[in-house]
Amino acid sequence: MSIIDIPKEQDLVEYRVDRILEEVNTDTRIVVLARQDDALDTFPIWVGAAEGHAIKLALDTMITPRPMSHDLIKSFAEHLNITLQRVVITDVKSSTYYATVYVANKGIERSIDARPSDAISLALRAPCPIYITQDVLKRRSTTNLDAWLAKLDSKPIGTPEVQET
Amino acid sequence: MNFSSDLAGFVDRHISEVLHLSTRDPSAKVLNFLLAIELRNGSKFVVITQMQVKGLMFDPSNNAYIVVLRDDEHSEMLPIWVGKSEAGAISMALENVTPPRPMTHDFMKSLLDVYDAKVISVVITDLSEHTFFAKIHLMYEDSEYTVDARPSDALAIALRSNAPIFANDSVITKQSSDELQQWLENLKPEDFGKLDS
Repeated sequence: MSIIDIPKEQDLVEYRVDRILEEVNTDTRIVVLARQDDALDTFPIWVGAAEGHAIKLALDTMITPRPMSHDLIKSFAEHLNITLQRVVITDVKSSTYYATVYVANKGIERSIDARPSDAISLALRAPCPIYITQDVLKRRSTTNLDAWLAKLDSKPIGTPEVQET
Repeated sequence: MNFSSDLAGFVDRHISEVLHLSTRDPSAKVLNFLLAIELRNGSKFVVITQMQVKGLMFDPSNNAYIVVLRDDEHSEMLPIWVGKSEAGAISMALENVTPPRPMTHDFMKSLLDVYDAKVISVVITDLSEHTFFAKIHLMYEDSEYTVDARPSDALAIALRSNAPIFANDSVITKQSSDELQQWLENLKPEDFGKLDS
């Protein structure tokens, strides 16, 4: 956790959160990352409804009356003078993405294992850049996307599901 | 009791244990000590009671979960309504479940751990317009920091840090309305533990 292994810059590609899609059938959300340099590539990550909501709040810069969990993490960091350096999507194993959050305090840098949803939620609030490693981009999980697209195909697109009366 | 947030931090840090002791054994020595603090701050002291998380219940009428806190003597009960994902974060800590991937509060704990910061205590400080307020007291490099939080986050991090949980007595008193007592009394034993099923 604390042995720091800073990834080399050429191995990282910067992404930003483009939008959050709702997957009503499974009560999940799809966080769509897009390349920061506007090259045409999107990177979808499936997250839970609560996790998606936390990201949406930050994306829309919504101020909630009470601090949400990631606001509290940010508040901890501010009180202790910890800065978020960057978050990196570092790995994918059996369709699960892994992320690492890099933090620094008085020149001491540490890395913390995290779920991508937490990492992205924090990156938007810090704010700090979001990267995906070249390795993950090569090995990206397409199973979810394929399944999702297959489900879309099974429905005639463009036909309203609720008939107007 | 006048509540002052600055004073609350002071009280929590130095005399929380004494305050708790005073409820059991209000000896002259303790009362004098409390009086001295009261005089030094020119204000009334805040009485806080240590609470334990007793469990979680599902409240079907509000489609929400209730975290039930009780003091050690079981004379006070403090129910706090929380959302589903917040209840999940507390439930995992209560049941010592280690999820395959770190959940949000596990990450929160890791952030504190990598810099040797500690959660000393959490305090449910206020109840205003049906919203509970909490404070998390952190110790880092010999300094104390007080951070505003929702009770659900405060409880989730306290349980992961083995930090004591306190509630201001004003909150406990405010919450114990007749209506609530009645509602709690009407609960059947099988209403407890629904989160697991």
